[in-house]
Amino acid sequence: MPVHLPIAEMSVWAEQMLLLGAVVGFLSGVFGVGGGFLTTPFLIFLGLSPAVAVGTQACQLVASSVTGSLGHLRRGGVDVRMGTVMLAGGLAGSVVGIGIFRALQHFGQIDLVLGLLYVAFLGGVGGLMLAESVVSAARRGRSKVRAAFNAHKPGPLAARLPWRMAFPRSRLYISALVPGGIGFVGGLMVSIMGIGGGFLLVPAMIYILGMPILLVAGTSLFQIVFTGAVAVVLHAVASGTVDIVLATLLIAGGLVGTRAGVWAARFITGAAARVTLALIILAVAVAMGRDLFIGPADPFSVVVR
Amino acid sequence: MTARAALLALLILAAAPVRADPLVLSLAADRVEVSTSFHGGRVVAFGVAPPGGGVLALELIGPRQDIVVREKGRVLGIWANTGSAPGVGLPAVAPPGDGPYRAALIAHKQKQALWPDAPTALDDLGGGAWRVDFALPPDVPIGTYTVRAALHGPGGRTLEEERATLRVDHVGLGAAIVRFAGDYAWAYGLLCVMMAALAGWFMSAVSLRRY
Repeated sequence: MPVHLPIAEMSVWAEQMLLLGAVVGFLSGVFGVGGGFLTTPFLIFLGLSPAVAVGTQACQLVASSVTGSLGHLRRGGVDVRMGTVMLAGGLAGSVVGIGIFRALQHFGQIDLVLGLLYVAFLGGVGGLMLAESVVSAARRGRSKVRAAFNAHKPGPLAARLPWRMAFPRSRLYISALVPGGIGFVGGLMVSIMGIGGGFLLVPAMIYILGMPILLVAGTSLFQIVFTGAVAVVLHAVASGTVDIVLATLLIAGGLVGTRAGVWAARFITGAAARVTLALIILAVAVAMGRDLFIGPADPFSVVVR
Repeated sequence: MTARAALLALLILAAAPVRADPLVLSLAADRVEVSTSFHGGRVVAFGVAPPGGGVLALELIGPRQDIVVREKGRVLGIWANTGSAPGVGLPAVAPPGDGPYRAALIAHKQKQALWPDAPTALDDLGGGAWRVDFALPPDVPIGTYTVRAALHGPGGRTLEEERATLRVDHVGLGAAIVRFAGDYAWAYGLLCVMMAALAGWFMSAVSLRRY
């Protein structure tokens, strides 16, 4: 069924967008990833402008992070105080990110920068995941990594900087600048790339802040809800690139996909699943990288101002 | 490459002696409605050519747009946009120069089923009456369009000319969204956030019931 997107001013197939939402939702359900890293590149492959892809994807990010953080809140897996400090940085990051996005659009380099960022992040994360899965499969049974995660202590940076604050839930007394700074980077990623950046925030919170692992995912999702919301409003106001019809299609597909993914997660476990996710991430990185390094099919592009 | 900056162009030949009767041009509808289910449309024009000689040419001219054509080149082993040419007020004004940017722009428009190279023939209904269908692609630009009918005499001289305008507009839900997003961008952004948050909450409530 063709649907004419009013803001994007183009016609797309509703089935295609529902399917994209469902596939991304399925991955969220199985692996607990946000999936924005897949939606944005695919929307761009399908011919949407990077601006509409990022602005609209931020909207889907709000939906999936609300679902995720509500689940963690119920299980007590959110350090609200830590999340709020990160959020303060995240809001600043969102605003700065929108400014950078608009500037890149003006100079016609947004597709280049998005491509480079996606290749770097996805290539890095996919590669690390693949390596880690192979290593942990090789020495099955030993979980020294988990043990190291649980023996949390604040990183040297967090302990030394000024403006120290107590975070009773995480049992930490650290400088507020560090979680704020991590949130700032998260905010930049939400506005520039349309992704929550959990794959970067989570390790940073474990290794730099020294947060208990049980609180990390929930707290990161909690702050992504609000940074994502701010990014959506800013994209709508600054560039008018949030298409509510497209967002609804992606989210509707996502609801079904997430549901199926949560169900399927009981059967899909272990190293094979992690290797699959790593390969999907690497495939997207390669697809994004092809235009950058081998050369685009058409060196010319036309943009309507 | 035709230098005509027309969105769509059609031509017909009619042979008869030149007379001073008026050229008649009329549109079947002065509005093309782009609803959320729009997947291409039509502009139907008809009229009467004065009994006489000349070539009747019909053009559908789209709304003017400011565009930029960019070219990618290799920088440190990476393909980046290295050159650009602006075009202001297209399609009335062609992009500057005759170089690769112009050719790329025309190729781009033709890929979107706009700016066709060759004219198509129009229906001769007899007695000087004619009718023509212009096809509009699904991604047609929104705005004011002009249909121009011109009767050309020998040597390409324009004997008579008629113009009619029509609007290609969003209607229904699409129109409401575009208007709301334009007039109240903050509220529109918040609406998007609320829709997303509600869907997220619904998802969370549904999973809770099962597990």
